[in-house]
Amino acid sequence: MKRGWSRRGQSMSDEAIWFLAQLVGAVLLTVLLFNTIDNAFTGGSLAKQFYPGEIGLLLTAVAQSPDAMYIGVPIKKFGETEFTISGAKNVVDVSAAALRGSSRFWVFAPAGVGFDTFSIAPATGTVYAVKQGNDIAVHRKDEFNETLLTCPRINTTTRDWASLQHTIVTDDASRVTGTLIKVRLPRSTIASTVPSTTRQGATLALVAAAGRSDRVVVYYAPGGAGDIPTRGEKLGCLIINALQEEFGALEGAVLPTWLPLPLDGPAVRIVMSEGDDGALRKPERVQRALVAALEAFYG
Amino acid sequence: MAKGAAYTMFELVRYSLMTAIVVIAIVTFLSAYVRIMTDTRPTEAAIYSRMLARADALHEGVLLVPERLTDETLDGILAHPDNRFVGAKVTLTDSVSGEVREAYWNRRWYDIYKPVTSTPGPGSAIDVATTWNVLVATPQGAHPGLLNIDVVTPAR
Repeated sequence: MKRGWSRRGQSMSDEAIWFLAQLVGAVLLTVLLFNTIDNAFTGGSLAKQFYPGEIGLLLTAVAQSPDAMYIGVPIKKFGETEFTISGAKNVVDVSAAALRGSSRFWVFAPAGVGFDTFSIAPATGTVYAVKQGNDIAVHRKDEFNETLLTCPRINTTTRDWASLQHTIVTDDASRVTGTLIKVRLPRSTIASTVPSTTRQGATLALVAAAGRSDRVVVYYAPGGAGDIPTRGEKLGCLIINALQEEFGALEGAVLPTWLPLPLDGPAVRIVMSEGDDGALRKPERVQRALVAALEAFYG
Repeated sequence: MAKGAAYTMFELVRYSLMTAIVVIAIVTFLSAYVRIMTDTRPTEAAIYSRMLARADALHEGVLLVPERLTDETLDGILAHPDNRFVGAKVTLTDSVSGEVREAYWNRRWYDIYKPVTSTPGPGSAIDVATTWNVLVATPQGAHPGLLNIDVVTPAR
């Protein structure tokens, strides 16, 4: 049968088919491109890779701490993707229903230190790792206040506690030494200055540094005789709990550490995270928490 | 016919080249501006290095005790029941006496991964070496020393 196409017509037809194939290819490529970009930005596959490492390293760091501490990790939701974080036997798993499979990371801990099996779903908001003794627990924020730190049960009662109940807010570092309680906050947050008491031997300073790399630090020298590290640990623990009760669960790390100070004698040092700076720049509430802690310590 | 066929072949090659250029451009754009994966191994290695260098188990106060620098001690600091992910070689050099002491964290897998650190791509590993200034406890008193930690971790 004779074909009715001319040479020119046949040539055009080939060209048209080729053009159509190109067009289809371009459309497919564009769909693939947008799909990949959409998945990268909203699908959470990057976060699924990132969070296990973040939390695994965090738990490893918590496990290495010689003291009681807690750290909060903010977990974001990527688009509609919500993550499930679980852990058992030195492994942290992060998965999402919208994404196939899970990502995992490992936790290194000294012998005897371990964490309970946990599963948090959906893991949005802040997830906390809390270490007390050899046990590490992982909590959601709304469960955290139920697990205030257990403080050393030693007697630190002072009969004249009533005379110590003055909290001083100042931005003058030179005034910290030699005064019972001083709270130092950034200049912008100075609320009031209360005349100082002059009792020697105990100094409390809350330093909220303005620099990005500096954290809010509480120094406390409990003074007195006896087991000073344990006294410091008790007070540091009470301060952490009081701050939590005043502000709710704080965002970041609180780490009571025993260290020498530029102040008078040894002291407990509590490092708060950058995320808590906003809360801790409310002097009245900080004072209230510190006084409550001191009352529990001395009262 | 021959002329028409040559024209079609020219077009075919031209379109193919154009398609290849567009695909390469898109892939380049994606890899340059859209980050799907991030290699966090150097940061992880730095963290492990710090944890080993500052571990309480190696120190007496601020002094590093050379006798405590053993494979068993290092494995106890960062312990895991099935560690196939990372290992390290720790070398302590006493800057006064010149004495050198070595120990390994997870030696089995360090020895496996170390030879492939110079090879890029899948199946390879990276090594991150960090040197820490330490004070070494000796019978003659505290000596300045260097603690070199070579952390090796495989591609994943």
